[in-house]
Amino acid sequence: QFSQNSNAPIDITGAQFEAFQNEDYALWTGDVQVVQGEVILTAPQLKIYGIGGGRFNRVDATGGIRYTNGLEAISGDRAVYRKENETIVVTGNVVVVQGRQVMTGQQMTYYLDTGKIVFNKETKARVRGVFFTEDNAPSNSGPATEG
Amino acid sequence: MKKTDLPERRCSRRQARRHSALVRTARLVLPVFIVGIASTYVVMATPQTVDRTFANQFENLDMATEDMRLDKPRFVGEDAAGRTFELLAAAAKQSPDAPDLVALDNPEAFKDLGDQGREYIKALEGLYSAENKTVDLRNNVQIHQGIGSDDFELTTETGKIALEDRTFSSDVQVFGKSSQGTISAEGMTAYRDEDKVVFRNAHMRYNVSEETEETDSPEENDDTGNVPSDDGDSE
Repeated sequence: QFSQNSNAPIDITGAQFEAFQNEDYALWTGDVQVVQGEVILTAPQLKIYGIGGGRFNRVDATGGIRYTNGLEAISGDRAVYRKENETIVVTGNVVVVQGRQVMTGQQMTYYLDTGKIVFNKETKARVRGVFFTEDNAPSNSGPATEG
Repeated sequence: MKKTDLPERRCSRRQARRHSALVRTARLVLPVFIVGIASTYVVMATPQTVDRTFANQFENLDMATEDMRLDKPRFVGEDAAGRTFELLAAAAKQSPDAPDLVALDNPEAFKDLGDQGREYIKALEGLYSAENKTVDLRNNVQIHQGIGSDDFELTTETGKIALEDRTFSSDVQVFGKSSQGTISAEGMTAYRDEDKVVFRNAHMRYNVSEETEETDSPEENDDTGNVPSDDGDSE
């Protein structure tokens, strides 16, 4: 699911939860918040596919998402979680913050099992990142590297 | 005048006598028959004075004071899709002061969903309004509702079935559980025709099960028309 500790229960809250008897998806709208273990995902709308046994096949979060797992904070216009390869793909105005390091781009894939983050090169937009070396990184400014 | 010049006789003497007898009988029977018909008509047409006196016996009858009660009423029908549904109650009571309302004890509504099992709504009390075509349910309202691939047992304190809109709605706290997890909400509406349930201000807890059989995820395009790709592993 959304975090390494993937058997923790998933709590979802929202202004409206729409479920269908003969469809295998459900729709959450209105300040939707998903919490699993230390992971929090928020979005105005969430569409969950394949809810058999509490394991989602796919989750589409749209309208401006925020994701945090205690280590990284990720935001973007839209995110798609896919169970088959345990990834979250975030597209549109993507910002990833790890401690004081920041990376931005248009499309990013986050691998839940390894924590790996890959900014994809398909989109024309440039990837930018701000990284600090260990020893004496200045508190607020630093070399801006262009990917 | 010779015999041969006389006019020839058209019927024999015997036939003539029989004809006369017939005429004589008709002269008697016909008037009696006509008088009979006329008197029957007269009798029938007269106002039923006799019925009036019979009706008058009920004039000063008092209105029924106590409720009218039906024990174990049961109604079975079929919806447009040919699925049977059943409405039953332990008792139904109607008060003469409000003939539009029928109070129900332990009302239950079942619907057969074929291989998807059975759906039901039940409560300890109900009030059917013929005018509004609604059933107000109170006191331990229980709903068995299929949601996606799972079945939920929902409970609430009050709810309303709108028979014409074919909806069930509750505007108070709703709790529910299923094999997937639990749900609580501040209200719900089940839309029968769309097989859809909407919960308001909801909190759902999904219990993530250990093993599940692999179900393939829908390869649907996203709104922008492209399926987000996962590769492009640029380090």
